[in-house]
Amino acid sequence: MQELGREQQPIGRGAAGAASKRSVKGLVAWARGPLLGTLIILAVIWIPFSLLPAELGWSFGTAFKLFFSAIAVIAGLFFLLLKVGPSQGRASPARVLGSITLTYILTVGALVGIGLVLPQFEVKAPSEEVEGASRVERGKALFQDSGLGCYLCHTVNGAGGLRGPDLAKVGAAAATRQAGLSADEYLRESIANPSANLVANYPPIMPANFGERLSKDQIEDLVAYLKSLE
Amino acid sequence: MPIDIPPFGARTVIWLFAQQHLYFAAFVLGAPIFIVISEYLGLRTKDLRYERLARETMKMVAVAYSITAIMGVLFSFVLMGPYQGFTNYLMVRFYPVFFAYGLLILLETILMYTYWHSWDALAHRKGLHIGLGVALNLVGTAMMLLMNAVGSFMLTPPEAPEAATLWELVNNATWTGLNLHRFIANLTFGGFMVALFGAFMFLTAKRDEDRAFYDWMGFIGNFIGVGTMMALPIAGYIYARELFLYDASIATLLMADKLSWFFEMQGILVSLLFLGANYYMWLGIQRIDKGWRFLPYFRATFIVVFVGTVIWITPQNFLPDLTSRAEGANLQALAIPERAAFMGLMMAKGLAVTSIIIMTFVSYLLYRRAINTGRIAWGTIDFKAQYALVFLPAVAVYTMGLMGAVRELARQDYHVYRLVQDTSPYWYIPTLGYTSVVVGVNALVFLVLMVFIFFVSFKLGKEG
Repeated sequence: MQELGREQQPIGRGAAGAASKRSVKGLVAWARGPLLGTLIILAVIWIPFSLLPAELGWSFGTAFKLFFSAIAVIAGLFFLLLKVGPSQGRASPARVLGSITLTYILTVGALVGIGLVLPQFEVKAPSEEVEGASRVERGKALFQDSGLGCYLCHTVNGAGGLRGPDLAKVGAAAATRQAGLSADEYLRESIANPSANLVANYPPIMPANFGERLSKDQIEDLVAYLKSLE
Repeated sequence: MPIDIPPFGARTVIWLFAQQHLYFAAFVLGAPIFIVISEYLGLRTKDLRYERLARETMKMVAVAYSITAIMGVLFSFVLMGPYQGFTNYLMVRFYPVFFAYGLLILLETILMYTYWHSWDALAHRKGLHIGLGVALNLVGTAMMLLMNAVGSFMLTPPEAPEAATLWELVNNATWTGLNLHRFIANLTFGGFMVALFGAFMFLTAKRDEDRAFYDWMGFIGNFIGVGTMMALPIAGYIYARELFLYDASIATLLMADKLSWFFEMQGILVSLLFLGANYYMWLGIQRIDKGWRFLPYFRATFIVVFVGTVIWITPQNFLPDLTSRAEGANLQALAIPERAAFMGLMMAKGLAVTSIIIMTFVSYLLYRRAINTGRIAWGTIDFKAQYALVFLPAVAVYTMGLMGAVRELARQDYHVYRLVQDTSPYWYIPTLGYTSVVVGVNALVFLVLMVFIFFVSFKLGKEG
């Protein structure tokens, strides 16, 4: 076993800071580095990006700015923690147990808090919402259903994923995509057997089992919706 | 649903017991792996600390073992009442597996108690004692593989289970990935639990000698926890790839749809784990002669960890789910701007995670470098380090609970994906907030039980 009781080196300016941080001025001086760093990052998040024209493609929304700001503040607090001087001492087992329990509860509590403030989603049964709706409306609801996830890879009217082809005008294009296939037939086949009609420059990543997962009626709903996109 | 469990509902009660069983199972399966390695190192190096670490950890495992079994039984009983049809389905398909599992529990129990109670009797026949420990681990791993077969089958069953052989049911699409991920995660979990125990004992130690030992124990526990945690993203990637190949729509549900904010949360949690581990090393290096020279480099690693975290957890869109969008919401403001879209891609996130892992490795190298040039004054570490060792298990316990929930929720309204529908009132995917509260309660219950184990093992026990 190694020798005990060796002297510790001071942690940065923590030891000196501990004495001077009693006054507000002293506290600010002690926290100068992390405080300044955080303020600079916050200024960069909120000022230049707000001034840039939207066409440049760098305009972060308020939600993103708040998100980045929260991380910047946490980072600042962390770097402040690095400046806190060393702590030593002895305590009774009950007090140690109490402080450990408190640390654990505060940590878990903070994590639960984060879980509660992040965006919340819940699943609804797709058929419940669209009963009695038109075929196009039912198809749209299916397209937007998270269980199927069509929109995760396909964009319609500027919203959706980019992994698959943009379907904004697929209703008009479907009739001319494959010689001998009507728009209905082309769309039906593209849903049930996607590898039959691959669009150039897109990898064959669409699940091949929609033909089994969807009822014939649901496929017709989707076809009606896609045909309506012109 | 034939039986419900008011007021919380059958699913939440089953969730509680299943998660407690898994927490304790992770500990009693993960800890013995490095207990045996530690005992072996003690034999080889003649360093008594390894022997003491192995023995003290095994003392806790022996108590935790009973709680694991009790939680397993409670989980089974509360599951059987409300979900009779589903449990019957599993029992029919996996009867030989459950039967073998029962026999292995018996064998594991015999080996575990023999290993623990023969520690003194076999003090001069260490090879035999270590052999018992190895056998204990082999049986424990086999038990885990069997239950992983059932768990992975529920999410990725073969196309026609009626026609499939038992081996095809067991060796389903994600069995290997789940086995790999859980094996490593159990070691991580066990390491952090040892670190938690070391922290408690360090802070209450009266003698410098004990404080030096528990400082070392906390260091080793953290080392095991962080060392194995660095491999977890790779294991997670292998598991996710298997899932994607099985059914891409499950993967998109997880990563780009309603469950995607669970993965945002995962990014935050794993970043906190790496940050906490690096902070512990920052404090640890200061108890090494001239270790303070390396502190500026540590600051640089912290900056990289924070930048990596920002890239990792920046979402492509705050509302990935079109159906949940509120009327009148500014959709453009909630989506990442075009020029910064690279931050939302998996490639960027993969690089960010890799940079965090590399920086943690760099911290470890700095620590090694400091040891090479100066001596460690064990027992003099800053007390804050012990609270870092409490923070890390708290985050690890929460992470394990949350990601376990994600794996279950990925089945959506099925007990067995696309084969056995969940027709109970609890078929839906709950919100992240609700899940978070249940996971938080689970984490606190686990702490209470772990404190009980510490107390029984070291404060009431007469053994030294």
